[in-house]
Amino acid sequence: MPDIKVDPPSPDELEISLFGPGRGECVVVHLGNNDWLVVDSCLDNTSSQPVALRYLENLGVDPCKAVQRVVVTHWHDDHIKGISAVVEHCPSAYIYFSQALFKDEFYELLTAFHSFDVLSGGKVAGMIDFERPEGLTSGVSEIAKIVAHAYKHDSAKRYKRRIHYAGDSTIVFESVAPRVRIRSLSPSAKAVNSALVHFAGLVPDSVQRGVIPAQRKNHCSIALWIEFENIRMLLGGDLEQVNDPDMGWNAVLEGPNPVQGSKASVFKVPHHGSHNGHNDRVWKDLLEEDVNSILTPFYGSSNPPPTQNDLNRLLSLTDSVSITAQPKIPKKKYTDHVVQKLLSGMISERRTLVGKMGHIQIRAIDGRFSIGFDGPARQVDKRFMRAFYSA
Amino acid sequence: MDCPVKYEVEGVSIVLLGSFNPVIFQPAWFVLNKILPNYDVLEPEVNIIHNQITQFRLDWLKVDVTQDRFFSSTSETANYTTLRDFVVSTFAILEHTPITKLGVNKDIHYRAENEETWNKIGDILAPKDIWQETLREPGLTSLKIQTPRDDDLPGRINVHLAPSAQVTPHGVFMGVNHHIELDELAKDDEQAVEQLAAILENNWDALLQSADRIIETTITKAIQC
Amino acid sequence: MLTEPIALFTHGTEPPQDAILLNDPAENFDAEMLQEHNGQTAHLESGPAAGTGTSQTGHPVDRHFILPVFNVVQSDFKLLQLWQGRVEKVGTDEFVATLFDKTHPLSSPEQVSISIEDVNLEDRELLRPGAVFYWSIGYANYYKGPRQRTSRIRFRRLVIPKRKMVERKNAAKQLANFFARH
Repeated sequence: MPDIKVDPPSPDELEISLFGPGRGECVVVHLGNNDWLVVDSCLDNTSSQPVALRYLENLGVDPCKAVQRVVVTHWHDDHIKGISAVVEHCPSAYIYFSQALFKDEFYELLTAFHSFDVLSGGKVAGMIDFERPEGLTSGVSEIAKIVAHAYKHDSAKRYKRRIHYAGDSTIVFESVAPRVRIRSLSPSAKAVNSALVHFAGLVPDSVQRGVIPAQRKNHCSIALWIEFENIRMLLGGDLEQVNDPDMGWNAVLEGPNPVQGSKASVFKVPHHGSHNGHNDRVWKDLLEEDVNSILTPFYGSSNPPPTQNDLNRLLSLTDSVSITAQPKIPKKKYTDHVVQKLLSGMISERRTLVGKMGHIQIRAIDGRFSIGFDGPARQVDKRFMRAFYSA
Repeated sequence: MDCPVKYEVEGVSIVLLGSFNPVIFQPAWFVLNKILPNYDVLEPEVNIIHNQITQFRLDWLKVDVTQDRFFSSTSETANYTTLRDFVVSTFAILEHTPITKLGVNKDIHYRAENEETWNKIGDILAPKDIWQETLREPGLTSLKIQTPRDDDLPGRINVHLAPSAQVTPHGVFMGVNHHIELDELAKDDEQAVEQLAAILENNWDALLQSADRIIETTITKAIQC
Repeated sequence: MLTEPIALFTHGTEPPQDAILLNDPAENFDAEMLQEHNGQTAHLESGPAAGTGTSQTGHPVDRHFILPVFNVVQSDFKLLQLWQGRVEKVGTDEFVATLFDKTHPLSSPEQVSISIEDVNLEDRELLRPGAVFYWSIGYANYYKGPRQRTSRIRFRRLVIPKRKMVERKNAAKQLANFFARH
């Protein structure tokens, strides 16, 4: 399995890197001339730093100047851990949220779940940062920090203009040399409304403060279409296939501004490869044959995606499928045998949610693609299927 | 660390300075306001409930309130965060209470391996050479160190070390007090209570980790491990 | 004989270090006595051992240490493992939760299914998606009496001020208007 390259890409070289440890994911894209895009965030296992910042620093890239766009496709903390730190460390970047996150209903969710007054500028001046990954959070802490910081800098108009919303046809980035254009394809207006109804249902009515439970559906997901010279890439986010022409992939394909022209040669498979994210027409109309498909696993369910069927389906559509980490990981073992024994006696089901961080790196220059792997990231082939699934 | 420091006894307390009405703080009041469950107060040990002082104890919690100080503590490691919740909830209900200072304290008693190690701790932290010029048998009774905070919170960190009378022989007491001047952060009483909640909620783990680090580093270096 | 220290004499926010006895029940409580004690701060600050050459426990003064008293009550529960949990889903017999390991904070969170029977009856009204609980495993009666392996689930009680519940709608509107402007 070829390794990732550790030198920065050349100015006219495209790179897309996908990171995923089993919960949350992060995409880092080189847009040419040392301009970078970061989509979502997860934490590096060893340093507890956002993986995007760690990767760029390891490449010798200064995120402070180089990151031009940060796109936040999810809103729950579990899926965007460290994104507020990314925003803080990338002061040159414009930040794109789903349109749904600009409405009253979402802000009511923010203000309901935070002990600090978002209007007063957010977190009370606090302690030294200890290098520990955040455990339990409110569920909207990451977005709350970004919003509070932006609100505090009201008078600093430049910061205020940093935050933008992405809908079903927003130009997120454009450049001339190299010729680059990034467009958001979702969420649709109906998806936004659906998200708002969902947010309203999460606002607590009890005097006891809880947190927002893990979210299964992401109505706000942002899918991105990236054009880099002659190369096209589709980042599917968490976008799902639903029985509604005005939502999900149907809205992308049938909407007022459909994707036209060349097809994508790189596809970040949505929703961890699950059948919920699959749409046959996306593969037929938007993706090249043998498109380089990359995906992350999700460990948080009884039948975690991608399942064996999901991978077989992907392999029937393209020869090039790569995954950032193994589809299943063993249960955590507790060193204290008393704890291990009591736990086994009391719990009927137990699943580890975060594994080792895997990294898939695709680079392209002069029409030639190269793909590298780090950590548990692998190409999905017959050997992979035999290793993880019994015949 | 090559030799992790194991505490024989440890506890955490939250101390508030301000203006309080001690007679309010009865076990039943906490249950009525859904701050404590009924199962916590089935067998309270109440010393006194009076308009000048209240003092009671539950299984895991100790509360002492006078007109200018609110003190709550626990020595159950499993309930450190519950103590935090208890204080935040209490002053969420009593949101107009004038509170000026906040203290988050970690106290431990550590037992040195033997007398030689115990004496070494005292000698390293308070060298006796200078005292022996004029004092016959100088002995350390109490050492207090103060340092400004290295975060944005107004206040200081006070560290107190002394021989332990509770863990004998060869016990060492160490206490770290995170002292925060709430009145410098807030314009009025309501804001001070909000700041209290925000500090305790956002910084709880970090405050206790900081205290642990101070204690472990000091003792480890003193026993030259 | 010293018993429970009370918070009368410290100047800062440190926990009480000096002990004054108030063993008397409430009916014998003497406000004058309290005032008298309050006035004796400086004297008591240095502890009963000061100036006497012996420690509280009657030990002779050691060459290195003279012993004051700092009383922290030893807990009888020895903690082996602590998690903070978030309820995801509640079924008829079980609930699904995500556990965050507070004892080994660097390790991965886990998703588990726990029997509702393991939740105290009084805490069950708090059992809903988004509820937070603390789960500890350890030994009860660790120092006294027969030790017992124990598992305790305790639901978090963290009250929101009523004022905040009212204010949040207005705060939300203010934020929405602010971001809508650009």
